[in-house]
Amino acid sequence: MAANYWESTQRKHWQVSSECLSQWRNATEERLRLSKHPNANIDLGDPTHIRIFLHGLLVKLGHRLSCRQQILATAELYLARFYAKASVKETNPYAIVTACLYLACKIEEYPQHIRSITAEARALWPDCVSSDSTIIGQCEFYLIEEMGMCLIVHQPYRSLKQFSRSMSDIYQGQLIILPDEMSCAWSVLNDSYITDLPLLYPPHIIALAALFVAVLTKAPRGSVSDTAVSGSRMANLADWLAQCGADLSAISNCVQQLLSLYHSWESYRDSTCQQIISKIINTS
Amino acid sequence: MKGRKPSIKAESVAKPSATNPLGTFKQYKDGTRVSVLDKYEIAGYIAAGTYGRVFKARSKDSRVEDEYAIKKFKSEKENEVPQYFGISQSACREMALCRELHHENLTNLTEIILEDMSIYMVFDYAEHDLLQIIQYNSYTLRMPISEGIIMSVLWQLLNGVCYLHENWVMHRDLKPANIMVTSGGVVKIGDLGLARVFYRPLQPLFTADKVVVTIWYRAPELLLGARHYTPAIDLWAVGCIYAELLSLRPIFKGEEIKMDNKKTVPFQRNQMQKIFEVLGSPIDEWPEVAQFPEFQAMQTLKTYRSNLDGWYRKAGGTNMRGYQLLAALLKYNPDQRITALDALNHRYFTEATNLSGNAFEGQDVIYPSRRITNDDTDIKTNAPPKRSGGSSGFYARKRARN
Repeated sequence: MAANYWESTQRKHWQVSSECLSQWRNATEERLRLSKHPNANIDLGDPTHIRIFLHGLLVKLGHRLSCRQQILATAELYLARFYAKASVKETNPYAIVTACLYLACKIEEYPQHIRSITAEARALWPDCVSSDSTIIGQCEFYLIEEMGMCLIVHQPYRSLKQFSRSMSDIYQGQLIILPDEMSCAWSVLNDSYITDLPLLYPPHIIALAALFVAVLTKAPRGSVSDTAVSGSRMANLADWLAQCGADLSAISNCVQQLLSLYHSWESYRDSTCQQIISKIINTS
Repeated sequence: MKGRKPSIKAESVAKPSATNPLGTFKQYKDGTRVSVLDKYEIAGYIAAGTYGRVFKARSKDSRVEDEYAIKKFKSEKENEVPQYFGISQSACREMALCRELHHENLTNLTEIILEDMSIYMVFDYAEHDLLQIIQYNSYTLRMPISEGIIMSVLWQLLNGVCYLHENWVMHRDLKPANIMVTSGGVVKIGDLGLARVFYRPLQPLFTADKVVVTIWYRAPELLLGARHYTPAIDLWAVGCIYAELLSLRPIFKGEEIKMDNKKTVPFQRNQMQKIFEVLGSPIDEWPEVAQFPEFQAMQTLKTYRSNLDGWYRKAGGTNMRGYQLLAALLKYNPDQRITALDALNHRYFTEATNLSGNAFEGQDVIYPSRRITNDDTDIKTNAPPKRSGGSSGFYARKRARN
């Protein structure tokens, strides 16, 4: 529940193994193939690129509505859950993104009228979103159903703040997370929603991985003494992680997935993905 | 001309579009969904409220003997043709919270079915509720509710509220009609349609909901226009419910001033006056009261001497600890009002010898079963609920006039 991740529906129903995720995805692909769906054979390219594209849509609409990060993160997780069970090829992601944000606003107690959110989405993507808001309402229904009505989500941001506080308590200032690292870790968490991590790991593990990535990438480069300092910071961090009994293999798995996201991002082209999605949606 | 005319086959596997964003996924889901009427047999109609209608149901699986209460939300607009207008904030909250919360003293959600643009929430059935119990004692038995029942009900109610608060959830609509009691005497708090999470809210609680809690159970800080408030509002309501169990009538039965427009919330003068008549003026015990938006309006009310102990004796109360707990629940100052956890550990309970988890244990009285009617058992229609008394309890029905 709000206070307890371990008793939450997120833990019980929406934290799955990577095998389970692939199984869901394969089943969807199989269904499209068997029903001879016109988009079944469209090549989506690097799946991460499509995820980056969807993330971009959500962030864009969220900023137009002045949504806080907490709302965006909830909507991102809804989107990830939905597309774990459905395929981008068989749906209109612009409408799904809008429905995710509409629902997240309500659940995070920052409700927006369905007509105004539809109007904002339409202003951004006039060819892809209908002016009829009941269509977004319909998407909301199917979205909620697909999520098994599990709507309250736990996010890693809270854990990140807690870890930073507890570290400075333990090391009496020696290993305080620098403001730079903290804001970097925060951005890494924002990006973590592009990956499968929120479906695979509990929020605190993702928060620790983000912290690790932040310390790693913010490490000063250049002089030998700097490298030594950053090396010892990394060692301290690893030491602290081991001390708190965190699942190190899970964390390292997360770190790898985050780093591979950034690697894949280097070859990302927005226009390419937009073309692929246009091919999927009938815009006539 | 070949291929010009789209065949039905081609249309059924059309690409997703702006007007059909779910494409074939929708057909796939519609084809696999189990209907509410496939699983449940509607035994009768229980009640209607502002939220929709509630039906009593049984499983069609003959091996399952359990009974259920199915709540069907009415659509956002009173429209003959149902449409997807977006799910109401209230339905979203209730679905989200009921899915997460599990406790002996909360109504248990069995499942939620989304079908034909409607939401069906399937709950475990409860035979009684506190409003019905109070009315039965008041009008039929014409005698007070026995102390054993009151103590057990109050303890279980506090136990459920404590669980909610531990999980950062405020109920915000506690009242006798929303507190169920099973035939086994177990209290089940129902109707989470106004409940919300209060952990680090993104905006002041007042911004999201201008009015919370049914007026007779509304805490003074809410009546005084508080922009921020705390779970202490639920404990005030518990205090009012406790008082009502003792005296069989609402302790602060004010007349509600209806809101004439949605923007401004009127000062509920008469309700505040009713509280003053029993508890006196709050100024001495609650200096911060001067900072509330409606303080000036409150100042014009007639003041009285605090007389809760007189009220308690008149209601037939004899237990000193019971009085102390009542006074602690009805503290004006929300910061000094007892918390649910402290109330559970109050000496009223800890010194009791006969506190039971079954409110009916050792009791002679047998409360009648819930009234079920058969004039409306069609759960699939979207007919607006029949005229109800404006009461909006979980199993709302018209409250008899005294």
